Amino acid sequence: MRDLCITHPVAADPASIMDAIWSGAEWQARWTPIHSFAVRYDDGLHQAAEIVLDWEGRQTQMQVVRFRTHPLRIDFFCPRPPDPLVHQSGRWAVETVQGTNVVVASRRITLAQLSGEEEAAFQLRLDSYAERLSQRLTLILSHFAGVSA
Amino acid sequence: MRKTAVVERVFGADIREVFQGYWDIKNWPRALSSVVDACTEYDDDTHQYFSMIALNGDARETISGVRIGTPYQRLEMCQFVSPPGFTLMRGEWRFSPILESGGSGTRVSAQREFALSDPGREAATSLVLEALLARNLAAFDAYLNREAA
Repeated sequence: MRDLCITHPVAADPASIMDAIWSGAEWQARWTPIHSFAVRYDDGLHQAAEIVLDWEGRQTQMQVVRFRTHPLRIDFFCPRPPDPLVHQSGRWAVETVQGTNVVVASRRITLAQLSGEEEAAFQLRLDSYAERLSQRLTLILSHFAGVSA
Repeated sequence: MRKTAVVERVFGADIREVFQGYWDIKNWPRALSSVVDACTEYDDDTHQYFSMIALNGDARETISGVRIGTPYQRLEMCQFVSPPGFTLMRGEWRFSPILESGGSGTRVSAQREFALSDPGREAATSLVLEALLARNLAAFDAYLNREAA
């Protein structure tokens, strides 16, 4: 298991950033690795969606359930996480840090351990995955942080 | 328009047993004769993605959704596929200990928020839902008493 937390300064109205992150259409419009973001349920507080996305040149599918726990916070978990994860949950939020608004992406991930894989090799693979995911989250945040009101 | 149905019952069991009884989806077919099967596809002790098959008259209804547990306090539920005739079905159970006279019982409040495709049936549906919630509370209370015996 690994916990990640990435932040990015906010250049737009925090509520519109969170509305954009909530919207499947905004994801499709703003983040090209998303092939489809099909919202199966959305009552404004709960959302269930199936997402097809590109991860490092490979197409993968995930199922996500999200909760608008606060106007500036979205919690989520994945009944079906994207390959090669066996668990992914996390949060999107806009928070104020030292007087500055930042958009935050936090993740708890578990990578599938390969059959016969040594612990040290698994940890190296997890480190590498976490690093690449952090870079990707930084890019995602930069795409959403500038959303105008 | 959204309507709410609320029913309350005092259970004989301790609040931990009652909360766990509701949280463990495998108890649903044991406690309620109308539930044929139930399983979780995801459970991280806070979020649970579940599906169950329930009998509605002669028809078998598949229910799926998410439950969010705040241990020994609250269990929130949202159905992603609403029952026939409904456009929204979500709700919660609230649990509070009965502390008077040194007892160990639990007050359980079951609440459902719903919306109908035919708003003209709201009043009648409210009554039906309240009766169903009361029946389910009584069945769970009886089941937990049987388990404790």
